[in-house]
Amino acid sequence: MSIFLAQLLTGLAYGMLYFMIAVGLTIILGVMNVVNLAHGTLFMLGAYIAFTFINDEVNFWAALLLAVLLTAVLGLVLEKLLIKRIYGKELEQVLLTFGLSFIIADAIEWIWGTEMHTLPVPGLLSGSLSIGSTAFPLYRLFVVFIGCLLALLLWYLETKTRVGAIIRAGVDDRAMVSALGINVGLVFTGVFAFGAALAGLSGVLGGPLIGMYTGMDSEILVTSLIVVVIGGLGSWKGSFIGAIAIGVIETLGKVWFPSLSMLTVFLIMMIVLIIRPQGLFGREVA
Amino acid sequence: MLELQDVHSYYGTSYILQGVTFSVLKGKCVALLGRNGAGKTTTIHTIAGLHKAKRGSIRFKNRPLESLPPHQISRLGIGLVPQGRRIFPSLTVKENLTMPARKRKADDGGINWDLEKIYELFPVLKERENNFGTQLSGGQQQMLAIGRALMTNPEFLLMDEPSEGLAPVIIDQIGEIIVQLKEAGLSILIVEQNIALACKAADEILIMNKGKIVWSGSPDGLMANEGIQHKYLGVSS
Ligand SMILES: Nc1ncnc2c1ncn2[C@@H]1O[C@H](COP(=O)(O)OP(=O)(O)O)[C@@H](O)[C@H]1O
Ligand SMILES: [Mg+2]
Repeated sequence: MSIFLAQLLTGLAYGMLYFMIAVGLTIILGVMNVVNLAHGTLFMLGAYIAFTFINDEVNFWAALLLAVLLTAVLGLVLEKLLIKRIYGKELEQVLLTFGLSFIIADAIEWIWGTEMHTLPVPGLLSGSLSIGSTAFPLYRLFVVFIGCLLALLLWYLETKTRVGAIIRAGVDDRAMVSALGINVGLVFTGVFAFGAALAGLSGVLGGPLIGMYTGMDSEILVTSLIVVVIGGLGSWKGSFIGAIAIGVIETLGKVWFPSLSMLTVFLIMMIVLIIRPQGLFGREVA
Repeated sequence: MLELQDVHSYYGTSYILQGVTFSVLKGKCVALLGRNGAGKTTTIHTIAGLHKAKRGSIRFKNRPLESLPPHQISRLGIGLVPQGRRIFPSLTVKENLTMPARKRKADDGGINWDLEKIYELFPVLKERENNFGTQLSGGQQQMLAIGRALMTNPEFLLMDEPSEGLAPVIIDQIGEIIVQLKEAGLSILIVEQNIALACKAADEILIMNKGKIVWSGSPDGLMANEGIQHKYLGVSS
């Protein structure tokens, strides 16, 4: 029982990391109709940037903040310079974002090498919390807490703020929003940068758990795409539920059926798609 | 206030606006009539920047609009009440109004529209402020579309078939609102199929056929001219 609970926490923590990265992917998809295949690379880049700062004796939290800011800025520049030009052109989007992911991944290899790295757990959170006979690592609890906080923030932004209303209206009828005087392009840039920042955040927070290694960007991208599909394209709530489900099932699957763990994830996706083709929270498409 | 000069517009290779020229003076209401497919909505969209003209000039308060994106055109003081109302289904009635809200820029003593004033004009919207846009009746949606445009505090209103699909009583109500808005100082270009509504609200009537303005005159002039009504508006006498 106690081992099971500890594993459940691990699964939840992984789920929250998946949520943080998938949510950017799904929002960018829902709002701008762009599948950003470079999203996994932004995750990896965030982790490496924090790694560099931490090696320079910068404290974990400051490194986290800097990495998130820098990935946001990179997202902003990419959108303004490149993505902006190809809204509505799906093939170009796939080629561009896929190409970007290669370029960034190669740059990472060139700068940081191919060795596997991990980030240290910040001192404050290195202990664990014992309840009964189970020890829950504080850092994993913290990641779960941040994931829930992010969900709360997104709920607030979506339903209670003007920006949230503009984004919802933009998904309904983009041209009408612009005809009412709102610079939809600026909103898109903001959404893209926000998504990039969340990918960076997820990468840094994942550093002590998953670490960084060559090829992790495509692994995490595939997992995030599965989460997005399960949750329903464009739905952050769906991503939240989907990511938790994948995190937990994958973690428990690794323990119980080590040889089938990736299969279990795909199996879940298939079952969801058979029952609800539009995903858990997806809009029905005509 | 608004001037179109020889505007030409295409959808792909189909030639829609074939040299449209007209103007709307400050404080006036001009009605644009014509059969389905004549190019009225294309005219509205071309002014609002949702569709780009190939040739010709569009000036608002003496500023060229042709190369501006829609949000900048809106910010110069042009409000759009589109055909089919295009209420945002994911937004509540209140959010549909507050989302585009902008304070009045022009210092001409006009009304500064805010939520309270819109609710005064359309009390039914206040009653339903927490409903989602698409839960309203057609007439209420039209009121919401007008209110939403007013919330941007425009000096000029583009209205595309506000009476479409509404019951006669509601059409009268909408007609009165339009007259009221004109009296409050707004300049208006209204596209209509309903001749009675157009003649009640407008100072000048334009008739469009196959992408050209083929007739212009006063409401009385149109009422007196059954030949024109028959030829271009499909009114049988
Ligand atoms: N998005 C579009 N793509 C191609 N053709 C269009 C489009 N919108 C309108 N048209 C065509 O342009 C012509 C004028 O349409 P429109 O301006 O909507 O007419 P109206 O508003 O007077 O009924 C019609 O023949 C219509 O079929
Ligand atoms: Mg029309």
